[in-house]
Amino acid sequence: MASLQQRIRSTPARRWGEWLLFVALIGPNLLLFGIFTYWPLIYNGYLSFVRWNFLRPVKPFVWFDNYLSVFSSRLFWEIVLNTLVFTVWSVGLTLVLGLALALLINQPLRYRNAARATLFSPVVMSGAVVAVVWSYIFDPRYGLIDQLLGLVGLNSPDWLGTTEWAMPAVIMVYVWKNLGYAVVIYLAGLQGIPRELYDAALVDGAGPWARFRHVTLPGLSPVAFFLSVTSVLATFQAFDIIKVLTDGGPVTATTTLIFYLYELGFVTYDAGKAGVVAVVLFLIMLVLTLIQVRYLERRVSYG
Amino acid sequence: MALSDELVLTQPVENAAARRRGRRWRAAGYLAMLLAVLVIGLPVYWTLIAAFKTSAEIYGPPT
Repeated sequence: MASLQQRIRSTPARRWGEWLLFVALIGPNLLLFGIFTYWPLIYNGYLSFVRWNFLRPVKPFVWFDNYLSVFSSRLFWEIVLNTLVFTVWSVGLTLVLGLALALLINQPLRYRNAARATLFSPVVMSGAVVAVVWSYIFDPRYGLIDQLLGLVGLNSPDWLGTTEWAMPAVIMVYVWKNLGYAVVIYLAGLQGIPRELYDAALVDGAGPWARFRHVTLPGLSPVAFFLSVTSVLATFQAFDIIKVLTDGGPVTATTTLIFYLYELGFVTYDAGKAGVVAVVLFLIMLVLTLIQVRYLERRVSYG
Repeated sequence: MALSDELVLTQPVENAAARRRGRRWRAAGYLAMLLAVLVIGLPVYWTLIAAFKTSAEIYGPPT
């Protein structure tokens, strides 16, 4: 009987039907993905090998000229360094402060739901609005920070007008905007850790630090891994806050790769070099994600 | 005095110390939460009230 059923299941008609169902289900998504994701990726790779200003009907093939031109420029390496500084500080602060705040508002404190809502509110605000608001807060004459520092007899630096302070200011705003997202994800992770593990640790005589080190951190590792990967990718693509807050300046102090790409493409209309920067950005993100998956995921405990 | 008697005598003192420590931690928790809410919430509040101000009031020095 069983062998008869197996024979019925494996008839060519049935296999063909399953194949058609598979194509029908996966096809539309694959088509959209191909048109809107893979094709631009491939076309961008092609653009990085041509000289084009978006208008000329011909695109002369220049081989690696665009790559040589971009890589031999000192500005490009300064911008790569800016991008790394921005990413490392933003992701690091978001992950650490997010964890600290999530641990705090996971405690049985009054008004914690109101605190959660407040902490999450910047996430739903537009990046441009956030940047405009913070440009007032950073104002060295009337800004909120100037007034707060004035209370203790200090003067506010010209946050957005000096090369030393512009990057810390942009990082501060970026972390402020995205912290709530990390807090919510960490909170979900914290609430998924079984209560019995804490009880067992207490019975074993574990103090608060030991419980955090041996129960909370391993329990949060999948969430922390997810957050680290998505935060790195999002930070590399941060554009709106930088554009509105500093416009990449002063000089190039806050120009990151994505902002440089925009300037090359849509200010100087150099599609070839913009293509090179896009390829570099893609490769950096790909390599970083692979490194994270390879080395960080080993420490993740899904048990 | 047996060891169990000693434990019984010291227990209320330890419980009181633990309660005090707990209260201090709770107060620190509230303080940290207030600080976080102020740092995150003030710019949001400013954004909301700016919607009800004229441009001159927004661009001018605070009154």
